[in-house]
Amino acid sequence: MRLRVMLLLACWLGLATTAWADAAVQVQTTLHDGEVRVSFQVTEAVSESVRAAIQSGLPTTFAYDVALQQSSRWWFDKTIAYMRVSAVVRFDNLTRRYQITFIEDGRVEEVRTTDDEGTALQWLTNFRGRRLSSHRLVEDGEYHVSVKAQTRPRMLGWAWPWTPGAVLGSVSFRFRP
Amino acid sequence: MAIFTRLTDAPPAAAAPPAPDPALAGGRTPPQRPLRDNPIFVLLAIGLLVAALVALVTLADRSTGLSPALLSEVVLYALVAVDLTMLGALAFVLARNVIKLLVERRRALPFARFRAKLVAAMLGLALVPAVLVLIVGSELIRNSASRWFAPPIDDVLAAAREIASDYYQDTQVQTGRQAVRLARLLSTSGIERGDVATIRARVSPEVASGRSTLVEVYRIAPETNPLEVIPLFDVAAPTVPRDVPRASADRLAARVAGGSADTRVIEPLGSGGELVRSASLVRLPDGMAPVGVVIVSEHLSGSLAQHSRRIVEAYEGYQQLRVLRRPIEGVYLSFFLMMTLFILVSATWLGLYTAKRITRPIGLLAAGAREIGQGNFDYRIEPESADEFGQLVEAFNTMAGELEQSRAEVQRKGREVEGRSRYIETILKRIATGVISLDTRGRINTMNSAAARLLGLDQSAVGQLFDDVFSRQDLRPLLSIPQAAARTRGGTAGHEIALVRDGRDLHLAVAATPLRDEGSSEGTVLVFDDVTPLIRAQRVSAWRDVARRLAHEIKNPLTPIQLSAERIRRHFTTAPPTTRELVDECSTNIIGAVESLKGLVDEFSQFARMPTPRAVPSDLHALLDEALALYVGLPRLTVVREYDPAMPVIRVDPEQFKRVVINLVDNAVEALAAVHDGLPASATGTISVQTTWDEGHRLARLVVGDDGPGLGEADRSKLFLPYYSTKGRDSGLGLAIVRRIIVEHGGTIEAADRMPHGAAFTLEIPA
Repeated sequence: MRLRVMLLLACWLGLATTAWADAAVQVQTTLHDGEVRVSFQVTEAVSESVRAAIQSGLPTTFAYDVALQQSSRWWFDKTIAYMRVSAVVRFDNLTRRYQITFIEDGRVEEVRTTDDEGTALQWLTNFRGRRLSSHRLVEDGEYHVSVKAQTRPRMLGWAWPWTPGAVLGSVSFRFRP
Repeated sequence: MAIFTRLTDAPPAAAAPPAPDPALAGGRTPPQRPLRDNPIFVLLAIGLLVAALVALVTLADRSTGLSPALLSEVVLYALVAVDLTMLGALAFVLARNVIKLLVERRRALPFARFRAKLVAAMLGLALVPAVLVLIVGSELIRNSASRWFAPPIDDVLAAAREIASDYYQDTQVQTGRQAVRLARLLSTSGIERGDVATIRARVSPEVASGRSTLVEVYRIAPETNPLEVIPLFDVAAPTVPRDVPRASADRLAARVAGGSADTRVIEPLGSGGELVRSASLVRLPDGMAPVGVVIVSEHLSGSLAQHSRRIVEAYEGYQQLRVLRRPIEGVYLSFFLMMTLFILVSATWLGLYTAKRITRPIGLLAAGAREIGQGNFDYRIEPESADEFGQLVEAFNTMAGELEQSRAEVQRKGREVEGRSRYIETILKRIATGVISLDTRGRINTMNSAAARLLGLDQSAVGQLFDDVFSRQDLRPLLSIPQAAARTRGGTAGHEIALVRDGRDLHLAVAATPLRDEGSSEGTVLVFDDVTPLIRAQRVSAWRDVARRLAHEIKNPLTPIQLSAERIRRHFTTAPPTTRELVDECSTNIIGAVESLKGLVDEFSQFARMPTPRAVPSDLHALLDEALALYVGLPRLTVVREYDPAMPVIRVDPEQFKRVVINLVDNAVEALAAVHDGLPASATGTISVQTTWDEGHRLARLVVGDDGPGLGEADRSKLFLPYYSTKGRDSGLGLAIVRRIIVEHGGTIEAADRMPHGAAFTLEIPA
């Protein structure tokens, strides 16, 4: 009984300190000429703590791990393609402008600035048509695309820092050319 | 005695073993000190721990200056991991020692309870202040953190940031409006043609009037993709530094020409100031495609920009601190918790270490005492310190060394006693004197082989009561000896007792001595000496003396008697015949009697003066044949010879040996003749002469037997006495002479009856 209470307390602490407690990842895939393109959007992505971190001028990273995996009935799913997309936002409290740097697999792809917080948050949480893979897919093969989203730094307490801070979303499809 | 002297006089110094090296000696190696008890190792570990703590304190002190990612992702994780590790270590140490305590108590090992009490005391002493410090420190941190974000500071910083931000915002809006206005003004200035004079004419007054501090005009090159911008004209107020770079203006112009909605940029200058730039597209009056870009910049002085930036940095730092409040609090609390756990773990370890430092030497001493108790006297304990425990260990090792020397001395003396005992046992086993010891209850304790042989006993008699063993018919004369010894009250009771064993006379000289030690009786020792040969020799000697005296006393008057008788006979040769016949008869009788007496006296002389045998290597069988040749021709007598072909050459006096054989055969012939008329010629029967060679004892055995009437029980003990004869017509010296010759050859002779009838004489002569 005591153990159960402690486990529940630990779960509560973990959930309470999770930045993206109510967040969810919506994933869409499109196939065009054998290419897999991914669009994903994180809803309820920005909690008050994350927003406060952004407003404090703290460089805040929205990192997304995108993976294309082929389903396997008897073994672990095989990862065919992987991509890490990051968007680092830096709010300038003097000019009240958001500067967002997009990084894909370690390369800086684009830098955008905006005065509008809504626009900035949309840029941070909404990605469209990201080219994930040009691998040849197996006809009638079962695939799924998973997106793991997380923010850094994680504003965690001291009680138990190993709280899961990521949100997962995935979509499956069967390849039919 | 010499051997006793040698054993007891052995120098003790030579037997004493050298004192062993305490560190090296020992049949069993004492347990080595584990690494964790090495002072150098302990000091090194403490040093490392202190260094780690200093590093952690430093890290915690600089936590606010660390990057948030490092703080929340690394430092906090590391500290919590260290906390959990120390918590686990504390739980492990406590659980291990509780389990050890239970096991040791179950095994009844020493010092388990003491160790547990010491650890509990140390832990209890450390627990209360450590937990109090943790609680107070945690609250202090929480309260301090709350004070960091007090409303006045928050409000002041927010207001300052608002002022600075609004100023920048206003400047940006103004420059943006001015850019739009100038773009509208330049729409008809021929910018598409590059009419710089017109542009200057319209822009310069703007700068001169102070509405703008820097204006830059670009022309968009038509029909380019992407659109390219070409700088046409720029004019700056004197307040603008000369080192204003164009690059940012060029990029802004290109971006705006490309259709970007982001038309503003703030550019820091090397002089410390900033330029707030705003761009606007210049379109022709018909509102068609853009033909140029105008950028209006407002210069902000260095001090203004610097102060504004400081205000914003302070605000952002403050806000970031608020954002990172929980991780920072976590770092401090984790640090406090770590210190608390460190104190508890250290207290527990210190308790265990102290307990071990105290109990280990005592445990080693106890183990050493057990080893010594089990006889392992060369066991030594390695001193681990130079304190009182070390001195105690040294004293123990010294004691063990002395014990070892004492044991060696005792062992040496034990070996001496054992050797002496073995020596006495050997003597008792080898001597011809029989020794029997009795305990206080009259049981036979020991009996040597001579006693067993003399008395016809075996070793099964040991442990039995003396009275039971000696109640046997032939040993009964000895029954009263122990009582006689007891009556002497410490003296020795001596007896000469004659026994008849296996038809033989046995004369024993018995000495019985009570054993007393400090007044208490410890039993009796009986010593038996076979004095039969001595008595026989004494008798023979006495008879020889008698014979010599008889021969001397009788022979002396015989000659005068004989001469007198002959003289009388000669004197009466002329006497009348009747007288002469009477004298002749008488003188003849006298002379005959004198001759007979002379023969008797000669035999006596011969017995008394028998010469010492001159032994030479002889063929026994040849001597036998020579002697037996005398009896060839007796009509009813058969002599059977059974010779052992293995008989070697024997050292005997040939003449004396033949005499022995003749006497024995004569004795047998007379025994056979006694059945008839007593004359040798009438002897009827068989005489056997048998020889055997006893290789084991190196003895030649000769048996002369007959099938006559045999020996009488009473005669058997007197057969070999001089002048004893069962026939009444001889001197009785034959067997006495035989016995004497054999004895002087170092041999023995025994007489026994044969079954169903007859007698046999057995001679044993050493080769």
